Amino acid sequence: MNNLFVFCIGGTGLRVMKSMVMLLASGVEVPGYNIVPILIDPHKDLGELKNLKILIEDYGKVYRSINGNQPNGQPGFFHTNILSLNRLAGNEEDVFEFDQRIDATFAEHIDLNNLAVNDVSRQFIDLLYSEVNLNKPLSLGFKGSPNVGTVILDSIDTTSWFQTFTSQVQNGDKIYIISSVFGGTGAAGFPILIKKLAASQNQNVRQAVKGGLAVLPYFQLDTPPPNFSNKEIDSSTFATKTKSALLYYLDNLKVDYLYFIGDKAGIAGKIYKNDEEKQENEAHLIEFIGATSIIHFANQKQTDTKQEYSIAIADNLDCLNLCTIGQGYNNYIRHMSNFFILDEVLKYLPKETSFPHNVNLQINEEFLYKTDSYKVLIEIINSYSKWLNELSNNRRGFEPFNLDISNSTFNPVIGKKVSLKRFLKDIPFGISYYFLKIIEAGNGIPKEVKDARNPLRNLIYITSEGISKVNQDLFK
Amino acid sequence: MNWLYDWFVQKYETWTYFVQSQNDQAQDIAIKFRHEFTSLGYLCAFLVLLIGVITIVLYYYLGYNKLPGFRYRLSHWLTFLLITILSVFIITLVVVWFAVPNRLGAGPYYFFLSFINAVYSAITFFLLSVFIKKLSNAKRTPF
Repeated sequence: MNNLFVFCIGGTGLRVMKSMVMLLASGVEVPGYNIVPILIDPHKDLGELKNLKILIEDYGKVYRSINGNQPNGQPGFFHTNILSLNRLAGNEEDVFEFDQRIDATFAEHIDLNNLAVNDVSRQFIDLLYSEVNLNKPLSLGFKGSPNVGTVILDSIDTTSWFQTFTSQVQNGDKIYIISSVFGGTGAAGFPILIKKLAASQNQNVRQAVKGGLAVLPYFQLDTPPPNFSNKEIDSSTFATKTKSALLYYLDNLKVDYLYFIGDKAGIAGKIYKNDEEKQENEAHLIEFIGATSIIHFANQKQTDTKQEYSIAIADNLDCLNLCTIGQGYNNYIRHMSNFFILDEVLKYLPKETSFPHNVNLQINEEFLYKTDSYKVLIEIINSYSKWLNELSNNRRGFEPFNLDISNSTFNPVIGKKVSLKRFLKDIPFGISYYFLKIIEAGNGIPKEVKDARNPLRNLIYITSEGISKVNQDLFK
Repeated sequence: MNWLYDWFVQKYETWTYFVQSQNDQAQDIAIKFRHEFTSLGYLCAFLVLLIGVITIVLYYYLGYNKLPGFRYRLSHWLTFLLITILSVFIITLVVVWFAVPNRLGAGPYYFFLSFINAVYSAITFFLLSVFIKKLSNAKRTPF
């Protein structure tokens, strides 16, 4: 199995990776690859970063609980392995971010005070950097200033973690980089990283198929109050920064596959609060679509000429669903619907004392529901539910499912009406129909999958099979 | 079949007493009735029991449970048990009533026969469930 190393640079990189984890949890496959995320964001206190690390660690726990040491994941939910670089290098602990927190200011970091005031280097620095650039601590990131990020990240290849990374890249592995072009960290990190990869001592790194996602502006920030301290990021400069970055990428970014995503028309949708410390931006459609580029890239082969991709939506609406986003997304939405239904199923299942597979598959209180791995699964599902809510509330929004379904009017997928018949009579469609298919999947569970000592594996198998069987018909 | 039903049916009144309590002219009729009831009547009751319970159990496990609606839940099984008891009682009563015409005020015998048949149907329903459930979507019903 090869590895797909995904560098997630800056806030946008993290958010796209979060969407990617959600897609992988729902069973979207990346055939032939483990995903190895490497998170780069100097803003270590960012809630998004902390939450993403927990999410990826939890994913790994569930994956390992289901699959143990098997080389290939079981089909269905959590099929693809997300591996930390640390674990890949043979350690037991998961570490996903490696760049260090810097509490010093930029001026302190570059030792500006050691330069005399009339030194030409100092004057050059004063020309390129404002007082604000020089004096703010780097612990909050580069705050929309790629000129700062470029200097800080330039020494990335001298770090021990980068050495570890280059030593782990094998023949056939791929490398993907996600960043925004309008921020500070991403806009700086993307081209630097590409440059460092091209200069690597390891031939496998130099020859690896490389791709990248350049995220163009898709939101804007409000104008903070005059006395608010964390207000240096100005979204009115996003367009200018984007043009500068793209001009540079045109001739200087040596990747095999370059993906562009943005939403010029949707920018005026929802205005985010301008707080660079918290950056509590809700999940966005662009981040979800950006995650699909990773899967597209994984399926591409070596190419002699640089390939550039972008993607569209079908209808220019404030909020999209299955019918309006475009047919190209159907497969992703189908998997997402499977995981959405799993959430509903698991609300009922622990209370079903007569559930047919309580004993033979050990899906019961004693062997499953009280275990740590099950609790972690529930945490992931809760995060998924929150992510779906954020996607639907944001603008431009994405709301493929009825997030508030009740059994009486069970219609999970917006735009898809379900009509089931048996002997010309209507069959009631509700969560119990999914249960029926889950039970049947359990009746037919293959011997090589069934494990009396691994009820979580059994649960994931029967729910994946049962739910996807129903939804396959739904999505025809 | 006598050993299955006679012990309970005679809780109402023994056959000996039933015959001897008739006047001389009715005694032959009573003997004939007793013979018909304990042969044809018991046979009909047994057939109702077998066919009724097997049909309902098979339908519950192999037909009813192939549809959605959490039908493996104990409440559904109990409902079917109740349906089995009631339907065996009523059908036994009707079938035996028509197969062995009532004579000499022997109505209670029919009732006692139907009642014990209904009890047997509950036991048979339970025992058959234990075996059939493994083949169905309701493997843990009733336990």
